[in-house]
Amino acid sequence: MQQYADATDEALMAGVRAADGRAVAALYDKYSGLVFSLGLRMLNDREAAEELVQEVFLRAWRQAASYQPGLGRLSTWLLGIARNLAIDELRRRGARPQKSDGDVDEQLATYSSPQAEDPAEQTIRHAQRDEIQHALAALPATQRQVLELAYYGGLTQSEIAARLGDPLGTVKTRMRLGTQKLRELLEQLGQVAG
Amino acid sequence: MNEKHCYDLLGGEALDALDAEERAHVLSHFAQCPKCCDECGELRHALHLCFGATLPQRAPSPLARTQFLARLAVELHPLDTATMPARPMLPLPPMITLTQQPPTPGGGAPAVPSHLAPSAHRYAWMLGGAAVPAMLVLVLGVLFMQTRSQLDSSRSQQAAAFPLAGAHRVTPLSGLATRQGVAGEVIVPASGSKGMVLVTGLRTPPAGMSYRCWVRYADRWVDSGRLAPDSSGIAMIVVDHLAGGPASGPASRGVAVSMEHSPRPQAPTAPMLLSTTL
Repeated sequence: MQQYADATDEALMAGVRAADGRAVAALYDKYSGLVFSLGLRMLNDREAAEELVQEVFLRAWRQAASYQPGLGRLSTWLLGIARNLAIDELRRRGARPQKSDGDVDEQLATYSSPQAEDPAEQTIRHAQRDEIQHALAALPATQRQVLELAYYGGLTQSEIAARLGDPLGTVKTRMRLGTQKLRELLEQLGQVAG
Repeated sequence: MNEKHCYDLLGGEALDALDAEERAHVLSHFAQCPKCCDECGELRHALHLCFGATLPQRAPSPLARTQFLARLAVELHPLDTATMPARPMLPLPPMITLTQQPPTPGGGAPAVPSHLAPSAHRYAWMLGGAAVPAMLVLVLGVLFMQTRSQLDSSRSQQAAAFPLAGAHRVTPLSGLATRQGVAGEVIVPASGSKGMVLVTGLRTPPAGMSYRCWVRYADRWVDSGRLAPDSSGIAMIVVDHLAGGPASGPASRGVAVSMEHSPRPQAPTAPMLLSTTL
């Protein structure tokens, strides 16, 4: 796997498309933490989140040809696969989020050290994360709440309205304004294309 | 539906939060309006970027990685009927027997069950705790079938009978080869005496050499077999008597991997590339 140890996302995906198992393994090593974190947040169940991780990377392997770098980062492509699968699972369960194995943070203490990362990359990533967190914090709380319920909880607008006891129209407006404002903020930060 | 109206729904569509009727309208509009479709894609990208970046970073367990690599190995090497011998199947444990068709009357290669065909790898991934053990049993079943022409019947049956359906302990392997990207794990079931050694990132050894798996009992290394990496650098081997017990004798103290000249070495002659204590 040495040749993929410091590979760019493009090089990794080229290897995956070439049916190189080492590239798939390197892809897993690079992004499994991110996918697992989303799965855990959405499913609130470590075992299910680990199943999700495996399925996401198998799908990434099978569907590598569908990844187009021009349409977004590799990380967001993987998150998209993960979120779709997690929503399917949440809707299959019929209620969400439901199962909890107790204190997830406590359970994960053993595995809370992601793979080694270059200190410079880590600094950049932390800086980007801080910027994005500020952008999210800049959203009005009601808009952020609606977005989080939809993104992490997989709830539809109608379900959010029922849960919050707000009119459906209000939820739709908050979702529309929230996504627009979030995108504008990320554009200002240079995180997405303007 | 005009473009402005669709634009109002793009946030909901990007979040998969529209009700069925609205969603159908949006998708219908997308077919005629690439601009709205692109805008939705950008919104979705922004949402993943935002919510993904703010997640507290966690890592799945090492066992999840091992299970993933085992599943990947199956995908990389789907069952090849052309290489299957015509002779009757060896007796197999019940779980594996269920996945196999009986030999054809004419003595030809057994038909491949439809659920094992390469195009049919649609695993029921959310079947709870049963999915992973079942998948690992399937992996070993496939590996068993692929390699049985090279193994004697005794060893094959031992491999197929490897008890993967229970709890496991996973111990990582590390050493000289770690910096070259080679990694490995020793998987020891809570019950039974067999274990599995899985190594990734192995390069094809030079001609005349091979990777050997060693198990340490007391103060002696015992050769447990050859680790033959596939084209993806993944190698697995089932090791007998890895865990101790009343019937299996003393427990092993460690596992290691070296590269050897001799096809049947009596003891390691080269530095251990990977090792661990158990």
